[in-house]
Order: sequence, then C-alpha cells, then structure tokens
Amino acid sequence: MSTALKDIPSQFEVMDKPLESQMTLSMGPQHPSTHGVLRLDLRLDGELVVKTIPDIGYLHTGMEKLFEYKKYQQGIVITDRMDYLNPLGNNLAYVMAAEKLLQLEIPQRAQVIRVLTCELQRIASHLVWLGTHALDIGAMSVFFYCFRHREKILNLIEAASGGRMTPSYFRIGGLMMDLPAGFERRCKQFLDDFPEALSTLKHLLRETPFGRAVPRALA
Amino acid sequence: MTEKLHGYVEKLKQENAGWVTDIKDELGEVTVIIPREGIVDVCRFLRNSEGFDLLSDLCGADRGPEEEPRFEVNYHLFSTTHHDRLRLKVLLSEDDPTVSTVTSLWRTADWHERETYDLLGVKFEGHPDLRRILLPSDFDGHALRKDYPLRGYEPYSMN
Repeated sequence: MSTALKDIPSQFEVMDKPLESQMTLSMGPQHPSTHGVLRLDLRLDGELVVKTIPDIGYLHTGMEKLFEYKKYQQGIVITDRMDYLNPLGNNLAYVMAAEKLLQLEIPQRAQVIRVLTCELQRIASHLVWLGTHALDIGAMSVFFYCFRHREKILNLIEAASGGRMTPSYFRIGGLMMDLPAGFERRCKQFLDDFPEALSTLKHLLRETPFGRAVPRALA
Repeated sequence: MTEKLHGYVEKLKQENAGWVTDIKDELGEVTVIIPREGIVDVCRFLRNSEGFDLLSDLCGADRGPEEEPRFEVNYHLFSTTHHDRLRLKVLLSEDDPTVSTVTSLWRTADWHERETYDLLGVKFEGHPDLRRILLPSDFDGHALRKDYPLRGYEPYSMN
C-alpha cells in the first residue's frame, strides 16, 4: 500500500504516456453507492490508478444564483435543500447571517427552540450516515433500524414546522411559530427511548456475525 | 473585540505600507483591502509570520455591472493556532479581472480559484490548471455575474 501511494504523482504533474501502457476510464457519473453523483476520469497503468480527474459539477444546483432573485425571507426555503439531511442547520446558518447584518437580538425562547430542534436534526442526520455507511460495508438491517428512529425525529420536526424534510422553521428574527402543544411530551418520549435504540445499533454493528467479521477483514 | 485583528493589520503596514489600501471593521469582522499586486506577498507574510495557516475560503463576488471596480476576490484566513479570522479583499476591474494565484501557498486554493473563474470569470495568473470546475467545459459565459440571467440565454443541452 505505502509503495503504491509513494508512486502516485503530485496533483499538478501531468502524466502523459503513450496509450500502450496507460488507459483512461470514465467512472460515473453514478458512483456505486450514489450518495452524491460524481464522475471520475481515471488514468490506469495496468490495474493501478495513477491519476484521477474528478468532475464534481453534477450536484451543483445554482443556489447562489437563485438567491439573487429571492427576498431574504424567501431564501430560507432554498436553504432547506442544501443538505436535505440537515435542513434546520442550514436554516440556522442563513438566518444567523441575515440577523448579524441586521444586528437583531433573538428572543431567548426562540434561541432555545432553535438549539433543541437543530440537535434533534443532527441526531437524525447522523443516523442516516450510520445507516448508509453500514449499508455500504454490507449490513442491511442497521439501515432499517437507523431509519426507524430517524422517522421519530422527523415526526417531531413535522409537528413543529409542518414539514418532514423541508421544515423552513426558522425565520430571520426568530421562528415560524412556537412549538405545538404536546411537543415536550413527545420529545421526552423519544429521548427516553433512544439510548436503548443506540445499544441495539451498537449490538448490530459489533455482536452479529457481520460485526465480528469487519474488524477481522480490516486487520 | 477586534483589537487583536487590527494588530495583524498594523504588522502588515509596518512590513510594507503599500500592502494595505483600506480597512473595514464591521460586526466584529475585519476586512483588509489589498492591492492586487501585493496579494501573494501579503498572504505569504500572514501565513509564515502571523500563523494564518489555513485558507478557509476563497470566493469571488460581482458587485454589479455598474460598479467600478466590479469584481472582488475574498480570502478568508484562519489560524489553527490562535483561532483568529481575517478577511482579505482584492478589487478587480471589469476590463482586467486578473489576480495572481495563491495555490503556491495553499493547495486548497486550486479548486476555489477554479470555481471563482468558472462562475465569475476572474482569471488567476499562474494557476496550474485553470479549467471550469462545476459547469460543463463548453458552457457560455459566467453564471454568477449579476448580468447573467437566471435561466441562461438559451436552453442548455448536455450534448
């Protein structure tokens, strides 16, 4: 491994050898696991990849251009789509930038709700990471367990904002609206249930035949 | 709050008075306007002597076709040792939107400069590989310029 790494030329060095010894292979635009669409121009020398030219534009959505044609409040809707696993985090970054420019002070209740919902969203986002990562290395069931618990968080966010994946919950200066009645009870219920869910996931990743095989394969 | 940041600007001025055109201190952020001839030297000084070892972002902006100078390139520097952030800004005219590359100082500038070139048409002199990065290589125009229409000029076909 280390010898092969040493042989890889630096990024700016152009490797152009005649085609007898090298070939160019286009990998993509769909990556096998397709979490993001990417195309790679691979230059192969035998079976060794000696150079890779990535083509990253397939995911470009032109959002900066869209913002030019929107009012500041309308822009919040676009931020939902930037990272569809963490829309509230993007809402937050956007409204905080606008609030900084306006030098607004946010009501404390709104600040607390922002932190609370963002943290729930973060757990949901990490569950997708964990589930799809396990899927990529061959463990199907972890994915379903992760998504089951993520759905509970999305239900909470839906109760607060009306949207599962695109909440647009934050506004410049505060929130779209206060948390609904019963949110506290449902949130507490989730927090009570989640530690057990985590230990189930841990068990699936460590104690199953699959979980025991991975460390052996990596050793 | 920003005294420490002004300290870096003072050091810049002591090193070479011609390096600092203007200083803006707003909302707790300090922006230094640098003449474009000096940007590489300023970056090298801040990186080597003042500990700004990370170029956390490099981006362009179009202030609008009626503005002169029309374009700006922003360098967001960060220090992983003392955790200060400093923004450098180079202003460029529409006739000659060219500035020297900082890829020799931070390799990360490579893709950032390509993006700025792709979307705004700012050219980076000395860049090792100045191609479009997000849009197709045969795309016409620079999409983030303010006078570029939202839907482009004609339906774009990938063929």
